[in-house]
Amino acid sequence: MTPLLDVRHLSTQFTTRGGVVRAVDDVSWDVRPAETVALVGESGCGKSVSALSIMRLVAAPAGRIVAGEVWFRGKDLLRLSEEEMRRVRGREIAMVFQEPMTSLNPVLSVGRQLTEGVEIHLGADPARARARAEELLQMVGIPDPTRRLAQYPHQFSGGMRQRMMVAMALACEPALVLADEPTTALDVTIQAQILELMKTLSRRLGVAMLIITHNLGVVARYADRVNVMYAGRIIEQGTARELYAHPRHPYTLGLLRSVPRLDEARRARLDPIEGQPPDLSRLPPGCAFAPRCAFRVERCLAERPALLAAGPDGHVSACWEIERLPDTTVVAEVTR
Amino acid sequence: MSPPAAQGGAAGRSGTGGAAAAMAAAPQRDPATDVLLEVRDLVKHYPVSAGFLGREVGVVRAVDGVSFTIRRGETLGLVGESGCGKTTTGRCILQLDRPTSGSVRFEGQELTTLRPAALRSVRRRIQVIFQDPYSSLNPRMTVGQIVGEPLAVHGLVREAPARAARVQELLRQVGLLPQHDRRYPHQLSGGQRQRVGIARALSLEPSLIICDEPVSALDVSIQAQIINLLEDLQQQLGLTYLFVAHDLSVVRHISDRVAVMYLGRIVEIADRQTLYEAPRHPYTQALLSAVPIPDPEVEARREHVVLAGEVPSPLSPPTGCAFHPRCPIAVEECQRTRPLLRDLGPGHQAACHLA
Repeated sequence: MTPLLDVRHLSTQFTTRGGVVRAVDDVSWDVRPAETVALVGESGCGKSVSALSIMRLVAAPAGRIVAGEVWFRGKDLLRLSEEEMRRVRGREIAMVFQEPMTSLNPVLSVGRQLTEGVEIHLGADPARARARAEELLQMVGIPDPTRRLAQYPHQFSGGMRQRMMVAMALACEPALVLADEPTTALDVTIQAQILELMKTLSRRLGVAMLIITHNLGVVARYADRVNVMYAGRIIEQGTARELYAHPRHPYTLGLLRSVPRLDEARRARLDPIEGQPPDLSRLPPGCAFAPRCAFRVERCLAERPALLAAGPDGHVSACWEIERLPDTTVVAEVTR
Repeated sequence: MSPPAAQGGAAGRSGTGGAAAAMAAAPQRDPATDVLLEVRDLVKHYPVSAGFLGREVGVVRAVDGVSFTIRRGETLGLVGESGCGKTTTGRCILQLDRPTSGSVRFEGQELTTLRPAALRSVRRRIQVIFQDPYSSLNPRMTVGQIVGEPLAVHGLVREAPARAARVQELLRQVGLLPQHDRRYPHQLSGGQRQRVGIARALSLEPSLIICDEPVSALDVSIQAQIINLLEDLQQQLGLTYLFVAHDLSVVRHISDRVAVMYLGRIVEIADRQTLYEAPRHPYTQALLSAVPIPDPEVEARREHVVLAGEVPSPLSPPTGCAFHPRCPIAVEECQRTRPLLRDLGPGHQAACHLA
């Protein structure tokens, strides 16, 4: 199947006083129509900058996309004019951010924020746009839409604000939604509501989703395919089932082993990844994970591993020592 | 550092000769009944005022009748969603917020009636580890100053060289290097900053540490490091933890017993195994079901209970059971009468008519 979004060799850099930071470094991945893909990794791994690069929202002059192509519906987004790009944002590709309070305008009514995009992108007249806004609020489970449209963001709870963000994202029937940590700021039960809502709506409307998250549980529940990022690069890629059942990179393996799981017997001790995440302005020449890796050999310190085949269904991993990795995430389990 | 046995918490553990003598001098302690902290009917209401004259128009019932005990050397997990009162409970134990009513007894002493001067010495024995190590460390102080300051303030180690040595020992204990003492917080990673926060808490040799979301701001790969550290320190120093968090997987790992709060009240409390394997309150059950498990095969098979609605305002809690508007099994009685915590087994209580 032709991908809907095809990111090829994307590199984004930031110039800081400490030097050049390669936030995203030669990264390739894709999203097929109506599919849910995850970008996972810890803070600073480049997952949010990847999304901002696709939307061409990287803050200049410090930040700059230095290489790559982003193919979407037959056009390279990186070559579009600013005017053409504005027609893509919100209309064809929409975003949902982590903190709804900071991404909603506090002095505009909820109704205005919902109708603005519909009027600009779809050319709807105010009455039609308003009808669409009511329909959208209903769709995302906000009761009493007529009264709600006249209210302001501060009159909404955190969960309702995030529902409102989802409604805004879906307002112009985009083909792709980029959701950057969409539920991280929410409580557990509200998080479950929003994720279920996004899953149901994306299936019903046939919208493809890119979920950016650090939560391995959220990925397991919602993603079809997964890209694991570390220090600006993708280090493992595959279908969710294949990647979780047979992680083929020491970092992925380490992440999966380090989190306590409710469905397993309680372990006497957790199995953390030792050390600290690397400083992106001073990356080692070889594999960025090598200093923390238990499987490290000489070669890892000198030569950066490329993504190589690691399993079925396009499973690839950037590790020289794939053969030595254990084939399971299960560690010895003892209850104290 | 004094031997851990003399610091309490070593009840039941064999110690050195000196520690054994200290034990003999102290009244005999039975580990099962050795209560370090007892919270009884704790209530904290915040008045809400409005208008020019600041008339009181209502009260936020942040904590509304909470009782629990923590035994020496034990970890009690306190879980719930934002606004459920778990952090306020911690602040009321420390008397940072004076409770509206109720009792907090720590090491046999009632804290709610203590004068500020007396409180200061008690606070030495109760320390806090905060969620965000960045905002709880002074950016203009070095790590050495941050960890050493409590020692100077409380007059524990007066001479500077001895204080520096003690700081070095504390840094080593939390897994930092001696040279970290000259760094500033911004020069450290999130995990290292949290280690500094832990070293500062340990410097006063507390018996109780209130851990308020100590790992939720940290990266996944670092969380496990800090949790292991907290567990090691507990064993070495006989510490007692009140572990306030919203991550149920982490709470299960670290806690001996767990209390679940909803809208200012405890709705269920039990030992770890009972609470996670046989939860009786529908809210506990829904919380557990909401936690995604990092395994797509398991997730595909799992049944998910998604709660409708949101946590109501503690300004005007629902009648009867505060959970009834969201409860999947609520009956008419739940709207009328508030269920009290009742015994369902040894050490297991839940506040539900239908449990």
